[in-house]
Amino acid sequence: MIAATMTGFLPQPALATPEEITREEALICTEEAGSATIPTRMFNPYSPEAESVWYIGIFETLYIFDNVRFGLIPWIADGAPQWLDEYTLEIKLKPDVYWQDGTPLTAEDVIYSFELPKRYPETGAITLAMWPYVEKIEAIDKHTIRIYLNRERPNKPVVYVALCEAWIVPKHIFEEAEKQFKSITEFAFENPIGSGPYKLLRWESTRIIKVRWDDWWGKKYFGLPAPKYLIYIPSTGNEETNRMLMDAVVDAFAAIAPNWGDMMKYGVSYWFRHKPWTNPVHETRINMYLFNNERMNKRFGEYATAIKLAIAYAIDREIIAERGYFGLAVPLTDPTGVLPESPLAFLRSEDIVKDYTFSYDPDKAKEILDEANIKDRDGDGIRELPDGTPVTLVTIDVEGWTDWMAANELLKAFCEDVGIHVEVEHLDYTVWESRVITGDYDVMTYGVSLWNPGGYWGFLSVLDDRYPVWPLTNGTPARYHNEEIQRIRDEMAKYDPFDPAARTVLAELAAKAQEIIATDLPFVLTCVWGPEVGYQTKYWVGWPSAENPYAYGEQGEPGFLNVLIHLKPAKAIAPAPAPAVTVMTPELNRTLLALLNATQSINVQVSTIGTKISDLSDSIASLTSAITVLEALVIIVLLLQLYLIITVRRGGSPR
Amino acid sequence: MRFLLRKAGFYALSFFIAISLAWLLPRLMPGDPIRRLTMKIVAAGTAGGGASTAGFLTESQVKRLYEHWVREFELDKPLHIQYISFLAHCFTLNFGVSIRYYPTRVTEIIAGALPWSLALLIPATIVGWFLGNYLGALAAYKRGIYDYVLYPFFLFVAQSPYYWLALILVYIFGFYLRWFPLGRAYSPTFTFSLSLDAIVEVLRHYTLPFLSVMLPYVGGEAIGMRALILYEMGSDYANYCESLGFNKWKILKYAFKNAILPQVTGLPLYFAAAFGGQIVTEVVFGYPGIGSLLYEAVLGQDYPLIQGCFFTIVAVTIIGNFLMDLLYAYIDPRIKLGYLGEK
Repeated sequence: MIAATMTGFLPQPALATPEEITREEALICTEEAGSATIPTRMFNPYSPEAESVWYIGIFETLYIFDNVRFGLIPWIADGAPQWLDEYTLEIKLKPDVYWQDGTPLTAEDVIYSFELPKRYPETGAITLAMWPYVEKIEAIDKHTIRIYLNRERPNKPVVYVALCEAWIVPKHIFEEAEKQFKSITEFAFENPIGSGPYKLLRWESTRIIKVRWDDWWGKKYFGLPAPKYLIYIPSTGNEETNRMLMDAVVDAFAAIAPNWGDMMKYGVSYWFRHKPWTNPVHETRINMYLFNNERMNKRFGEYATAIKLAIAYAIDREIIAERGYFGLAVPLTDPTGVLPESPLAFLRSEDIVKDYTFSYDPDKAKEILDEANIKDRDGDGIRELPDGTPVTLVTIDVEGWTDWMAANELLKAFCEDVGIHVEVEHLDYTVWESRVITGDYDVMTYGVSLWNPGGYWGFLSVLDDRYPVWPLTNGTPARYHNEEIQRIRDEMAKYDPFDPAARTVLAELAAKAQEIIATDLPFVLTCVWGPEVGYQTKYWVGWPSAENPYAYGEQGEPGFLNVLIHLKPAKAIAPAPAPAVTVMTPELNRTLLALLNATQSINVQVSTIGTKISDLSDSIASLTSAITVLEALVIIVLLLQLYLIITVRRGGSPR
Repeated sequence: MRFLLRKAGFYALSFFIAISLAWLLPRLMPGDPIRRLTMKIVAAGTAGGGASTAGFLTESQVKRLYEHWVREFELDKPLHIQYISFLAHCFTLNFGVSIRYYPTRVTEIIAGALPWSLALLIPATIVGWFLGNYLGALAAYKRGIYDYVLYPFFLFVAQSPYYWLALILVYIFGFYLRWFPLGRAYSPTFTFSLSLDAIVEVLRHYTLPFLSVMLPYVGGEAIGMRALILYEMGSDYANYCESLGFNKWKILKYAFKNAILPQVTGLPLYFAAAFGGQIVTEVVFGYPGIGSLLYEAVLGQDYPLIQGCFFTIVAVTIIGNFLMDLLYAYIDPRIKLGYLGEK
């Protein structure tokens, strides 16, 4: 441990002079990680704790989700996937893709990557979600694969999610790793070999530096990314990172902030130059008040629906979007969850929109409650059911999640206006999680994404208790059991979400689901926002925007590769200044060289010693870990006996 | 020798109790780290993860995932077995694998973070100790304007919590005046070398965290030393020396030797408090030390990492105290005689 300490402090031994990195050549990304350190060197996408921001640029996927048009961009794949029949999907690969070690990337690598989570379900990788619905995947030739869906239970949305999210890894390296470790999750892949445009240059506990691979296969198709270096630094929180973005210490960051408009003065750009800054059509998060339907039904019985409907009319979504979500969101007044400008607008049922648009109407809310005989019977400002049960709701959120906290406080204010008492509890995350697990809440702020290849099928998952949704490992926080919703989802899963021919049937199914949502009100939608990404333009331009609308992703997502190839330097890189003239005598030269060699030599020796001692301590650790629990007990008992003997011999009594 | 053995026994018992608490307390916190890990794994596979995660895995898949990781970290075993296993592994400094940074071993993670903490704490402690004691002695010796200016300053910094001082320093010198960076050990594009620029860069990043740890210590030591010097200067031997016509500076030297003894005793106590207390300093400045690590481990309920960090902090504290006990005997002949007298 001491030796590891010594070597841990030293920078990596420089067998060659470290590269000078200028700010103009580097794209620096960050994400809110809670800490400024990266304590582990881990680049295996199939290990649970490897963050995608660490290895972005090194690995690639078959497709990138086009989150501007709701489509697919072929990346490693060549062209769109083709349905040969209803259950067989064929994907061709580009013929000249290769790994960073020169080995060709073939169908075998793709199939291997897709099958890996089947053998190691503990990876929890997205392709694991695909396998209940897929019979097999086979290679037709070196560059063609076919996916055969399960005919009893096909699920096309999940297959598309896997095509866009599954990282392709080198079979020839991972197969060797499988022989060394009992689970692939133990393989750290410290020196990753991917197919992406970046290679790992340096790993340190405070940053990861990747350097552009100028022989990248993709330069023929996409051109080389302009940033020579891709650097990742973790951030301790939103405040620090917003500051770094303003100061141009980082170039890209995804997090909300109350002062997005002000940050534009510092060169930060967004999709729009005005509110809501993000593009809500790219529906990354549909915000809602999600009811604990089980508890609501238990507490309020037949009156639960009236209470939920009253809340739907009592809240002013414009104010929630403006004040609760800092003006980054736009209101959602109908239960479809889809904006009229969206490429998925065909999923909006106009009948539902016509009959169930919930405008801000507190008088209507009061009328609904009055008609349901839920009135303030004792003059305390809180309505009661006919049996005297007061209508009080408990809503929970996580302390520090300012948007959720603000939304809950607004819920309280709006509900109090119509006679519903709401208690807001801002909780520590672990306490909040426990409350969600035990179901100890009536309503909570929540968010669901529609904007991924799972589409509307994915959006409805919050109402389908067969698929656990964060933060639960079974069920969903909605605690809503509706077999009709499950049937609708199963039916939707049979259709290709990207197929124009499937739109009619998908729209019909969506309309049925929307009617259930509108009448049962398992949740009340409030507003929606797009990806909350901000970009600094001091060093790099060409970021995605309304003027430059191309598909993008956050820093850890495959879509970020598409951003990298669109970026350009903000200014041409100036030629390096001529080095200062130094009077170098032969003696000085010899001395400096000797000093440099000595330093490098010491670095290497210390590193070697450190490695040897580390190996030795590993051996000792593995040897002594053979000490059984019983031996440890024996040692403790012997020590106690020794103490007793000594004490007795001294004439005292053991205390 | 008997005294040393008894001391060693006492420290061993303290150590045992401390690490037992380090094992127990995280398990009393609400929350389930394996559930969090499971949800993180599930969320990682989809765009917009976390709160935006759609449920793609089935209930049985999530359940199998959860159960695998419970077994992997041996959290399915009874608590007393977990405790005994932990104690057994402590003898080999094997704290297992971190939950948060699986499959990296806890010892490797701590080994990477420890130098940063020590690099911050040791120089700050040494400089603070010397500077604080000498300034305190100066204020007591010179009195007058020195005392009127220095003493309130000492009081102010001594009472300042590290983290508050850290935030003030960052705000004034980092954010407002922009004299120093806002945090971290070096800039993202920094290149390690022995050049002057590189050294200056590291020192610029080092200054504010160094000051936030050192200044409260200077204040505390100075106040203590000032009071001790004043006491010693009024004692019998000092008065006698003065009556014999000794130079005041010489008397101060004698007084200093006596006054320094309690300050030496306080050094390991401060070191221990600072080592554990610089968590917030490291978090504020984004310094990749044990403090940051412990902070993240606690937030993530990473039991092995919490245990490893606490073990390290307790070990450093207890070893430091023990060494200081030995050193104390060396520098104070009266104590040494006392130890030998027991024989």
